[in-house]
Order: sequence, then C-alpha cells, then structure tokens
Amino acid sequence: MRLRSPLLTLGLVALPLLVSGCGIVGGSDGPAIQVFSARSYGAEQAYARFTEETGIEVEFLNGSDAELRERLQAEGEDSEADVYLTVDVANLSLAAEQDLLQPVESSELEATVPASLRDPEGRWYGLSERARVIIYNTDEVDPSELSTYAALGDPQWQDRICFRTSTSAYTQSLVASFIANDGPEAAAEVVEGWLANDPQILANDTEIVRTVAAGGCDVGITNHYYVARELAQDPDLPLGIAFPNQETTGTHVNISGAGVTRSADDVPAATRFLEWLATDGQSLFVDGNFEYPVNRSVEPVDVLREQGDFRRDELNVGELGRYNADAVQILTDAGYR
Amino acid sequence: MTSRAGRRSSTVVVATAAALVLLPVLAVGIGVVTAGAAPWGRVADSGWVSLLGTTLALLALVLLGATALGAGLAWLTTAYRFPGRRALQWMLVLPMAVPAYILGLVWSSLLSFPGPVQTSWRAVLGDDAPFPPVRTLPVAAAVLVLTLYPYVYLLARVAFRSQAATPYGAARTLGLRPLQAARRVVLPLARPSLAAGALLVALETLSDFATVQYFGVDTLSVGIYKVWRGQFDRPAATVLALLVLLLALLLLGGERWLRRGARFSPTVHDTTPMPAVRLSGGRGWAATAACSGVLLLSVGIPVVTLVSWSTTTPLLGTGGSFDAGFLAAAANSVLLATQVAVVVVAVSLLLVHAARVDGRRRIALGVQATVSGYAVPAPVLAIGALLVLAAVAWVLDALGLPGGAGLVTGSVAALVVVYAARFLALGYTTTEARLAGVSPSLTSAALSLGASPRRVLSGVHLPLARSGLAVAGVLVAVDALKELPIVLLLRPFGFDTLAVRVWQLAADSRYEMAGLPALAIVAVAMIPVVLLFRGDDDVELVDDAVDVLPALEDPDHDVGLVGVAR
Amino acid sequence: MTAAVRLAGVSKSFGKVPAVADVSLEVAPGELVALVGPSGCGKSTLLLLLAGLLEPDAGTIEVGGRLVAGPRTWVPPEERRVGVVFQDAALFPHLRVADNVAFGVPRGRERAARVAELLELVDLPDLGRRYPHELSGGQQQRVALARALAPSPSVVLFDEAFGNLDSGLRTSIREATVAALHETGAAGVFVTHDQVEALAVGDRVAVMRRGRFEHVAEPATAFHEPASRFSATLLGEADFVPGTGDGAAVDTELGRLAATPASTGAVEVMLRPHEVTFTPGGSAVVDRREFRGASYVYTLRLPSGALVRSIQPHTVDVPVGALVTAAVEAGHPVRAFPPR
Repeated sequence: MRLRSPLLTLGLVALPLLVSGCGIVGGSDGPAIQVFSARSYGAEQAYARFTEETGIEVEFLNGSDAELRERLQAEGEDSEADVYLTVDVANLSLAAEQDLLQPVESSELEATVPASLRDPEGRWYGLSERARVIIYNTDEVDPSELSTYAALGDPQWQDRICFRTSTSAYTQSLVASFIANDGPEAAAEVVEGWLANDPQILANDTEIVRTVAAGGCDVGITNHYYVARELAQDPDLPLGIAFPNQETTGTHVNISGAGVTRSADDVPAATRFLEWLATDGQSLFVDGNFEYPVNRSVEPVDVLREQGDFRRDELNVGELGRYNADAVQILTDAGYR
Repeated sequence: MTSRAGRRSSTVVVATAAALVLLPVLAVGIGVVTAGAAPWGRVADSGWVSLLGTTLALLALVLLGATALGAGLAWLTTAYRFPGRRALQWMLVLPMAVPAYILGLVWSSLLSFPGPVQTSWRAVLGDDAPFPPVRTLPVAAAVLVLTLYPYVYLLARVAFRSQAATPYGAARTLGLRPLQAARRVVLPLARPSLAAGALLVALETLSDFATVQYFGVDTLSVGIYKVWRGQFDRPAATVLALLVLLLALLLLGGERWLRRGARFSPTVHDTTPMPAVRLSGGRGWAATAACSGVLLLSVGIPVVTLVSWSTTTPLLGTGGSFDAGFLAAAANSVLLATQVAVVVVAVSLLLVHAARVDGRRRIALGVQATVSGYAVPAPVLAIGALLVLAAVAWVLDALGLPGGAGLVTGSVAALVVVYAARFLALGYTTTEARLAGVSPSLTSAALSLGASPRRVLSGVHLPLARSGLAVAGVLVAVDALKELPIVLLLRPFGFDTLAVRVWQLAADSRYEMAGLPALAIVAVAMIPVVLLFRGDDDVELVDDAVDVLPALEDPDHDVGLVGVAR
Repeated sequence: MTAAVRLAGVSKSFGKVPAVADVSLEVAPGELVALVGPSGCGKSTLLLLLAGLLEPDAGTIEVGGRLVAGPRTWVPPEERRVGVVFQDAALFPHLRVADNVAFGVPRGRERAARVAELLELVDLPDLGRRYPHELSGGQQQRVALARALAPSPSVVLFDEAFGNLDSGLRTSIREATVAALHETGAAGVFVTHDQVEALAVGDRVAVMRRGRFEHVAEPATAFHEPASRFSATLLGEADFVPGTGDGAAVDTELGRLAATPASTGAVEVMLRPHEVTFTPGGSAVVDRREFRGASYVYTLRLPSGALVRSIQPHTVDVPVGALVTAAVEAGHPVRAFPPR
C-alpha cells in the first residue's frame, strides 16, 4: 500500500466514518418503535408476531438493565427509544423515578396486569413474572423440610446450599423484599444466617440448578424458569421446586416489564406494544422463557402447571427497586460475595 | 527549517489526538469533583479496602504467573531445541486471540461441579471424592495468565534473541551453567522488556470485569459494577474507577522504575545466534509437552468446547445461533475492527511524523499524553467518553446545530473514535519502533533538500514505516475484536458485535448459543495473529512484529501519564 | 607436548549452508593463530564451535588434550576453560567493571586479588567501580580481555575483538593484548578480517574461505608464498603477471624471475607493489597514481596490457602518462600460479 499524500490518507480514514455515521436506522414506511431491551432472547417469535398482527415494526437495542437506563438518561429527550424493557424491576422503577418514563393510561393493561406487578402511576407494567424458588435434590431432601428463605439459615443446611452471587439483580431483589417486608435488621439477619452455613456462591442460576441436580448441593435458590428449562430438557433429573414463604409473606416474585419512555415519538404504538404483550402475545412472550404470565387468564406452560399454584408475595414490586441499594449494602456488609 | 504551516498542522494533529484521550479522563474527574463529598462516604461503605486487597492479590498472582510462564516459555523456545519447537514457538502466541472473558466462561463451565471435569472425577474416584474449590482467586488468576502471558512471551523473546545471545554465551564461557547464566545475565538484561510486558498484563487484569465474575473474585471492577448497577450510584462507582486508574498509574511508575537500568542495555542489535542446546530424549519431549500443554489449556480445549457448544441445538430461542443476528454481529465486528485499525494506523503515522518534523517540547508532551490512553482502564474511558459526547451534544443543541442527538445516541463514528483513543498507544509505539531504527538525520536530509513536511510524510516516513504500520494495524484490529466494555456502553441502536453477543448470552446462561459467536471471535482474531507470527526463527517478520512493544522500553519514549506529569 | 587446541575434521552447517567444512587445526600452548577471511567464510562459526556455543555436525575438538566435542562427547562451554573476547566487548552492562572481571572467578578470598591483578595486567587498575557504559571502546575491550583471562583459560578466542576501534587505538590494544596473553601463557585464536592484524598478531595465519582453510602458515610464508590467488589477495595487494616458465625460472615482461614452485609453460606470477620498481624510459606507461602520504602507489600498464602496481616513496614523483621500465626486487623467489 503506497499512499500518495496525507490528504488521501485522511480521506481513507474519513470514508468509513462518514459511511457508518449515516443510515444506522433502516427506514421503513409504517409505524415503528425502538425498544431498549434487556430481554433479548426467547421472545423472538412474539415480537415477529406483533409486527405481523399490528404492522408496527420493532427494533431492538439489547443491553443490560442498568446500562440501558444510564443511556436513556444521558440521551434525555434525544433518545430514539420508545420503550424500555427490563428483566428486573429495580432499574424500571428507578427509571420512573428519574422521570425517564411517562405514565400510560390503558384500561387493557390495568385490567390484565395485577396491581402489585405495575406502577400505580402507570409508568411501567410487568409483562411476565418470575418466582425466586428453592430447588432441591429429590434424592437428598424431603420437601417438608423446606419452609422459608430464612429457614435456610438453619444449621441443618450447613454446607448444603448453592446461592447466586451478590452482583446478580435476582439476589439483590430477594434481599430487597426482605427489607420491604420485615425491615433491614431482619433482612441482614437472614443473610448472615445463610452465610453461617458456608454456602457455595455460584455465578449463574443454571450452574446452581445443574449443581443441585448433580448432587453438589442439596438445595439452592434460583429463578423458577432455570429449573423449568432443565426439567423440560430432562424430566428425570432429581430436581424439585419448593415455593418458600407460603405460610408467611408468599414467594418472592420479580417481573420482566416495560414502560414507555419520555422521549417516545409514537406513544400509541408503544402502548399498543405493551398491551399486546400482556394480552394476545402473552403466551408467546412468557412461554419461550418458561415464565409465569402476568395475565391470569393465560395458562403457564405445562412444566409449570405441573408444579401447581402458589402464594405470591403481594408486595408491589416497585418497592423492590426502592430497597435495592440497601440490599446491596447489606450483602456487602455481611461479606456475601 | 519547518514551515509555519507545517508546525501548525503538526500541533493540530497532536493536540486533537491528545484531547481524544485526555478529555474522557478529565470528564470522569470533573464528575467526581462536582458530586462533592457524598460519593466518598458511600465508597467507604463499599468495602473498598477488601476490594483493593483482592485486586492486589489477583494482580500479584497474574503478574507472577504471566511473567514466569511468558519468560519461561520464551527462554525454553530460544535457548533449547526440542521436537516441534519451530511450530510451537509461534503457536505460543495464539492465546492472544482468545479473549479472557471467553476463556473464563469456558473454564468456569468445564470446572463447575456439574461440568465434565468434576463429573469424570466423581465417576473415577467416587461421589464423595473432594475436588479442590474452583471459584477461587488462584483459578481466576490462572485463567488470566493463560491468555495474557503472550505479551510477556513476545517481548521476552525479542529481548532474548536481540540482546542476550552474546552476553549469555560470554557467561557460559566464564563457567556458568545455562540456568545460572539465565538468572545472572539474561534476566537482568531482559528486565526492561519483561517489565513492559508485565505492565500490559497488569493493565489488562485491571480492566477485566468478566473473568473475575465467573470465578467469584471480588475485585475493584466487580465493586464498580455492583455500586453502579446495584446501587445506581455512578459517582461512587466513578470514585472506585479512579482508584483503578490510580493503580494503573502506580504500575506505570513501577514499570519505569524496573527499567531504570535500560540505558545500560546494549543498543546494537546482536546478530550472534543464541547458542541453543539440544534437549535429548525425555527432556526434549518434556519441553514439547510443556509448550503443548499450555496451548491445550489456553486454545485447544476452549476451542473444542466452543465447537461442541455451538453444535448443540439450543433448547430455547427460535432460530439456531447461526442467524441473521449472528451474521450482522460478525460483520459489525469485522467492520469496526477494520475501521479502528485504519484510523489508529493513520493517526499513529501522523503522530510519528509530527514528532519527527517538529521537535518542540509541547509536541513530545502531546504525543506522550496520547500514548497514555492505554493506561486508562477501558470502563473509565467508556464512561468518560459518554460524558464528553453528552456535553458535545448539549453544546450542539444549544447552538442550534443538528447532529447532537446522534452523537449521544451512539454512532459507529463515536465508537471508532473512542476505540482509537484506547488503542492509539499500541499503534503509535509499534509504528515508532519501526522508525526508531531510521536516523533522524534522514528527516533532516529530506527537509534540507527542500521537501515540504507533507512530502516528507508521503515520500519518506510512510514508506519507511510501512511494515510497522501493518503490524500496528493487525494488533489493533485483534484487540478491537476482543474489546467489550466500550462497545457495551457506547454502541448505537441495533448495533451488536460478536463480543456483545457472547457477553449477553453468557450472562443469560445460554452457553450453547454463546458458543458460535465466541468461536467466531477466536477464529477471526487468530487469522491476523497467524499471518503475522507464523514462520521459523529465521523469518525477520517475527522480530518486526514483536518490535511492537519495544518502544515502551526506550527511555526516551515516556509512555503514559507519568511521562506527561514529569 | 599436548596441543592447546586440536580440531579434526570439524563440520557445521546451518540448514543446507555449510558454514565450516572439514576443518582441522592444531594450536600449540602459548601460540597465537590468526583466522582471517572475508565475512561469511565461517571463521566466527569456528570460534563458536571451539567455545562450545555451537555443536559441530561432525569431527572432534580437543582443548588442552581433553576431548570436548565429538561423536558421543559434548562438554558444555562452562567446563571447557576457553575464554572468549567478543566483538563490542559484550561486557555485562548491569555489572561494574570489577564484577565483570570477577564473573568467571570462583567465590573466595583470592577473588578480589585476582581481579586487581588482571586489571593491572590490562592497565586499568583504577576503573573497577565504573560501569561499562562509562568506559571508552578501548577500555571496554581491555576489560573484556581481563574478564576472559580471569578464570585462567588454556586458550582465549578473539572474535573480531578490535574491529570496532579506530586504527590508532587498535594497534596499541592489540599489542597490549598480545603481551598480556604471552604473560599468562594462554594460547590465542584471533578471528579477524583485517590482514594487517592477522599478520601482525599471529604466530601463524589461517586463511579461511567458504568454510575451509586455504592456507595455514607462518605470516611471512602465508604472505610471500600464498597457497592460492585468494590467499594472495586476501593478505595484501597483489597483481598477477603472465610469464613462461622453463623449469628454472619464469620469463615475464618485468624480466626473468626466480619462481616457486618451479614451473614450465604458461604461468602467472604474483607480485606485490613493494616488490616492483621502475626506472624512467621504456615501454610501460604510468596509468594512474595514488597518494598515500608517505608513498605513491603507481599503476603501470605493461605492453601486453597487464597492470602491475608499484609502491614508491613520495620522493619518486612521476607523472601519469610517463613511460617507464618496470622491474622486480623481491629478494625471494616469486610465487607462480597456473594461468587462469
């Protein structure tokens, strides 16, 4: 390569920049919405069907909850995003607090989504529900031994538990629910009780499920759908699901949910997207990931139906977001990795 | 001698490049200062002392391991002959193409309780056979060592081959056994090179935030992640990030201290061949096994695992993992890497040129500031860039000019610019190293013959630096392919790269689907590495390629902020 | 008496390129042998083979009567008692002068005394605390010699050891080195591409070409009776003038010359410029002249067209184009070669 002049060099440099600077968003004729989505996999069919049925094109920028919210905030009014879709409520309620989401009035959404799973002001709605359950190895544990999350602090579980890391939103949200229900001291006591039993702390829920199935731990705490995934693949695994806190506060649930952004260009189309996912698209949206529907008139997938119904924590999930930071602090102070 | 216009243009080039690097850091700093004292209190609650302790322990282990492994393998392949040495000596560079987060993903999965290693262990030794704990700091360090040692290996080889042969021979004839001679003569002579390699390893370790999470090692970067994402406290996270930057600066200082003896090093390139000793029989095969073992752990097993993941049909998701999204991500990765490489190479050439035609002190300082970019941990640079872009957009808006929104919303152009800031050091030092052997009087000669600075650039500097530019382009492209934190934070709408895909799929435990994009990264990154380093010991390109980091050893080229502060 | 060094049939190739081919040589104790040849002739390789820094492909090497390399035998360099003085001195840059010299001396009470003794020997008694980069090139070279001599080797090898010094310095260092070697009684092998150095230093000179010895002889013999045209030109300026031999002498344009070996028929005799004189008037033409300070070198074109050079004091001032008659004043039979 022999470049004749520095100007030519600069030209070569500038060319790709110019080319890539333009035309990032492909043009389309009909209505279109842009979604900041932390939920990138498992619902592809639902999105495709939505476009088919409504003629509204959907485009995604995938990322993690916090990262997308930071970006939404940095972009402000200029953001191209119409919808912010997360897999955990904390960032969603924080986004609402930061005025990044706008209230949406939709009788359809209010009718389908239970009050505890949406923002009282309508800035965000839960679209699928995930329960934080106790899983156990059926060869080692009798389900009658399991009662509450806190009871895993009982000495009988010494060296028998697998937990998820404290960096995980799931762990943080569970502890936030303890704070919301029983106050920070009680929450800290639960965490300390767990740690006294020297649990293994693993980096992802799937590994917890597989470790329990393989006998590396007798019990663990995971989101229900990770167990469902494994059981759907191999129904003979010695895995059982126990819904904790049935006699007390109910099993902790979190949501995958969405809100319409302040900067949305096409609020009706964005609202339609949320409504459709909660109603016509509900099955497709939740089934791909073995989640519970927020729409109680929709049946969950078979694997879940077989587990039976359970009592949920009725706390408004928005409260979880409020206590998330405190939960992280409790985990840090207790030395939970 | 230089025209006023020439001086002005070199000032502009250098100032622009330096601003690219320094502005984001400055923005982060301002962000911390304006947040007042509150974040500091919250940082105190984050358990930063223990985070710092863990970080230091990890750094120490990785540095020790990577230096020992890199230098050891370099010594083995330089001073000894054994079966397969010719092929192994360049293949040992290959782990460079495997990003740490992919190696970490593979090994954390393989070594987990339900993974194949422990399953076979139990099958052989019984269900209750204890297995050493996996999610520990030493294992995380081992994984990092396996992908980072090539930096030390490359630099050590160059040092051994270009400077150490005669002194080593001299020591031998004076009665020292090979290992004694290595310890008393070769190591002290190679110390500056080893320090430069170790510095790169240390900075990569500080930037890593994926591998440590797989192995449950709470380093500062995990702390940043927790404080930022779990407690929604960016100011406090930024304070922690500055702590990382401070560590990086300390390491730079440490490296400079370690190479304080560099001026004693022989400046002439030693042409005597290293007296390689033939390892006979079992010892030869042991050497072969050691090198192959490292390759097996760092490349062989991971690639096989990724292949097996990507050929397993995933339970979830509609299409397979080989879909339009994958192809788009692959295309984006390659395109982005190419653009970054072109930009970095061009700017590097302009910087080298500017520093040569214009000897003023401020130019030298500007160049050093630019080169400091690689000491800034990637997440700090990314956050800083985000803040700068937002400010630029705000100014554009205030002036009523269009384009602001696109800047913050993320554009590939902005992404390329931030990448360039991150990798300029690599490009510049490589190019400069190529030109270092060219006497400055050549530039003076050209100028005295009446050539304009522009003609000197196209007629003298460009042709002479060409091979260096090629090497710089390749190294930058490989690093850009692997890069994660910046693209995660700054990419535009709908813009996925292979690295982003791997990270997200892995975060969602969808290993089978992460297999293919991960494999693609390794494969694509390996192509230039193979092209560059393959060949036997007589091929000069190997040395050319590795003259890379070498400018780091030259005390006249202060790399990093320390140089700026001086 | 046991040879200090004995090479027999030593060969070494790099890939397919033979660097040293079937070389044999004996060096007596205390003897200095100069290995001279153009670059790439294999002389440095031979040195590395001797030092043990390379392994020969074939042949045997003995040092001080001990077999150090051969089939099934390999003594590593550190056990050979062979000292090496490298080009550029190759001092350890991170060690002080005294530590460099002490490097090969076993730890003990004698060490400091030995170092002082050697620094004295190379006439640098006060520089022990300096670092190599603080020394001049000549001083570095002398330290390198002291370092090589410190472990009392039976032979010291010099690899173009004075090549990078300017010529005035080179002579004095060379003399000092030879003196120091004689004082210690060690044998020496000098590799050089400088024929003046080779002739001045060596008790014998070995001319090397393409990995082989062309001629191994005492300097005067090598100079006056070179074994080949190659040796002839390598060791000094030489012209070849055609003539006809009759068994007793050779008839040339410069007269009838005693020649060795006795030849008949067409031959070419080697003439060195200092052996050729000329007188004004005749059939040869002054073609060119070159001023060398103390002397002129005249190039004469003989009637046959052959060129021959003659070195004359600067007082002999003959213009270009003058006609002269050339003659030979060798003082010994000239070397005759078969015609090309």
